Amino acid sequence: MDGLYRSFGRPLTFGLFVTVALWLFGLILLPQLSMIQRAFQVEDRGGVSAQLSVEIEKLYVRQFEIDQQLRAIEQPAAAQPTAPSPFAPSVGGAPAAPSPNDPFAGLSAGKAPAADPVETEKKRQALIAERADVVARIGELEARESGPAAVDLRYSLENFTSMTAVHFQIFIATLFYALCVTVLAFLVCYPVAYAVAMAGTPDRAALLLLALVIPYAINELLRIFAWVMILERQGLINSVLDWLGIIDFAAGEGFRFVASNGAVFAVMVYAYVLFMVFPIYNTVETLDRNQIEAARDLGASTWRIHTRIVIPHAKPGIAVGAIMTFMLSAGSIAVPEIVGRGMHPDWFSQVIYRRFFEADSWNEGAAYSLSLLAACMVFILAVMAVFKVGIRDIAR
Amino acid sequence: MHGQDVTLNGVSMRYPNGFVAVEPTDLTIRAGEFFSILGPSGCGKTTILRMISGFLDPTTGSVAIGGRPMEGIGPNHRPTALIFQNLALFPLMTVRENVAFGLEARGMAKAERRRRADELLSLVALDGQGGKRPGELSGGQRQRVAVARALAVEPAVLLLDEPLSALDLKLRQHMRAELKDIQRKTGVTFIYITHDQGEALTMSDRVAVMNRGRIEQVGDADEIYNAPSTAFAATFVGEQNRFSGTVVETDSETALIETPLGRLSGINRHGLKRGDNAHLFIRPERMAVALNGAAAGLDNRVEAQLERRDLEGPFLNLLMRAGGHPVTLHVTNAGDGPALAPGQPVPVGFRRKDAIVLRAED
Repeated sequence: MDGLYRSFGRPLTFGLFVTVALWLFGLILLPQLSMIQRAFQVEDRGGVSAQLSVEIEKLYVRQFEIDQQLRAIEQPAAAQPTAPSPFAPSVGGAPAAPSPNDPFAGLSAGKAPAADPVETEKKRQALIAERADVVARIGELEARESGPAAVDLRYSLENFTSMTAVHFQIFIATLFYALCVTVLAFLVCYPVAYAVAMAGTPDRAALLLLALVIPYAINELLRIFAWVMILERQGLINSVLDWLGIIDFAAGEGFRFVASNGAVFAVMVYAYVLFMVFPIYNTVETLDRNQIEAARDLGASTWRIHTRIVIPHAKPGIAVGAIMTFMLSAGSIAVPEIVGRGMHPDWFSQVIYRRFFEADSWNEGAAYSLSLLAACMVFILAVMAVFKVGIRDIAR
Repeated sequence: MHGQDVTLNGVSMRYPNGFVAVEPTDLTIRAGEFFSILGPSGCGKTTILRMISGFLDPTTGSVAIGGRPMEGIGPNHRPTALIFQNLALFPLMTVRENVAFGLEARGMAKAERRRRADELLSLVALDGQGGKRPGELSGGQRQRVAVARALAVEPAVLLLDEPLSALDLKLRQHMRAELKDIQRKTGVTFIYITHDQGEALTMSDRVAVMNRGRIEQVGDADEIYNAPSTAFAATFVGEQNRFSGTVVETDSETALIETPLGRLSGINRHGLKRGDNAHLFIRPERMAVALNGAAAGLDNRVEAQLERRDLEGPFLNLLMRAGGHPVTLHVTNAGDGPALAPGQPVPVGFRRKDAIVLRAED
């Protein structure tokens, strides 16, 4: 504290503390706390508030219909193109209410009143009266909806326990998939990281790393779509196979690589390669090469050199890479969504997304997210235990 | 365990960037010998070691161990073991696992290799230390672990790449004796790389002096010290006073050279002829102050002036200047020598048979 003050001066130290505090509270603690709170809160969806909102919705539709009919009466010509909403239920049995089955009903209703002005005026008065009634009722219901009495919230574990068997299966499967991606990423990245770390000259290592980093300058979505281009039925791989004569496009042949978990895995491994390569590279790079030569000199095979010397040394890096890759792939939504096309087994991230934005149930969504977070935490601790790596080793 | 001989036939090493680390070299190292390669850093001695161990393939020539050509045989299949300069112990394994690593790689059963490792640890006087990590040991102990680890695979040839350079002087002297002892007990051929002449001369049966990729002289310690065959070998090992000049007269054994300080003579073992540029080398301890009748028997005389006089206990270092040329004398501290003061002119001299005349290389 004193040291900071002395080296940065008062304004900068103050700024630093404010930033750190904002970061800790505003960006980490508060969102998490609100998420946790939501996860343990149950909103009674079948209760009063849901009925209220349905009621209000209906009234708005009725109000719109009345406005349409009034306009048709007042300006017969202008009313012609306005087709009534097909969703409108025929509330109150108004005579002019068009049948949803007949799109031209409004047209004939608009033309008819010209014959009898008295009848029309009577009808107009009735509509105006009804409209005032509807508006008043909307006001009343909306006031009730926003009042505290209507929100039926209580704390419970229901959001977790009510997870359906299908969702739970997807949850378990997703953890397994993420593990698969992690293992695959390790198998791909370890040789790369080792090769870069052992590259003869610093120049060559820099070049190799640059080649690894450049693809990451491209937006993640573009990278995923690039993979779709490759894996698509009419995509690159199938084109090459067609060109080689192995399959025949003209005859409708071709493999469907996309929309399979294999494709999702492949794209994910590619998407998160760097998060595995760099930690491993960083640790392998610090390995004294004489140790590798000493092991070889003592008669060790390449396999043994890696399992006994290099991998034990790189353990902290492997653990960090595995943790990052696992967390990212367990939470990834873009890859399964774009590559999977809904035709592959769902990932839990997609279920969470749908809970939030399609089922409109933020509380369940929060509970699902929290479950995933907890599972990932357990994974981290398990990895650290298996690799016998402490936080301090990782911090290195 | 028994040693095997190592033969280099015209072995050379040229790196892709054109740098020639080792000129074509012929060398035979006898079985069971303690052989040192002595030279300044960058002279190519480590390259030779790496070619013998199989980490480098010679550009030309071939290496044979025990009469068996080693071409195409990797370091893990050669009957050699290398001890690295930084030892390269495996820090994550225990001492015992380190020693047993080579046996593990050969597929020996766990109980058996544990027994072997403990045997070797007691050979290097590290009984009971097997459970520790290398990081918990002292420098000398780590050194011995490295030796035990290398000996575990029962090599015919043990290659040591300046393994003592990280130790302090006292420990280094102690380890010299221990290495020599281990070598005698095991009978393994030791090839020892060093830039430390003391190490090379005290431990070795034979020494090769190396410079700029070329082996300049091979011989036992006496030959290397007393009869250097090149100017480099003469100056690299021990201290020398050097006088440069031109050969003006030779006979069957000696040569007389004309130097700015006068005519000086020495042994001419390499057949220098009249007119050759030559250096005359004389060791500081073979020179004497030519005062008070001590001049008798000194064939060569040089007039010098004393600059400094350092007492080093058993002997005195006299730092002088003769015609702008530094001259050093090591004189036994007998307590009855003439009293000398800095700035005083002092005649010094040496015997012809102690001086060596060698060709000036440049």
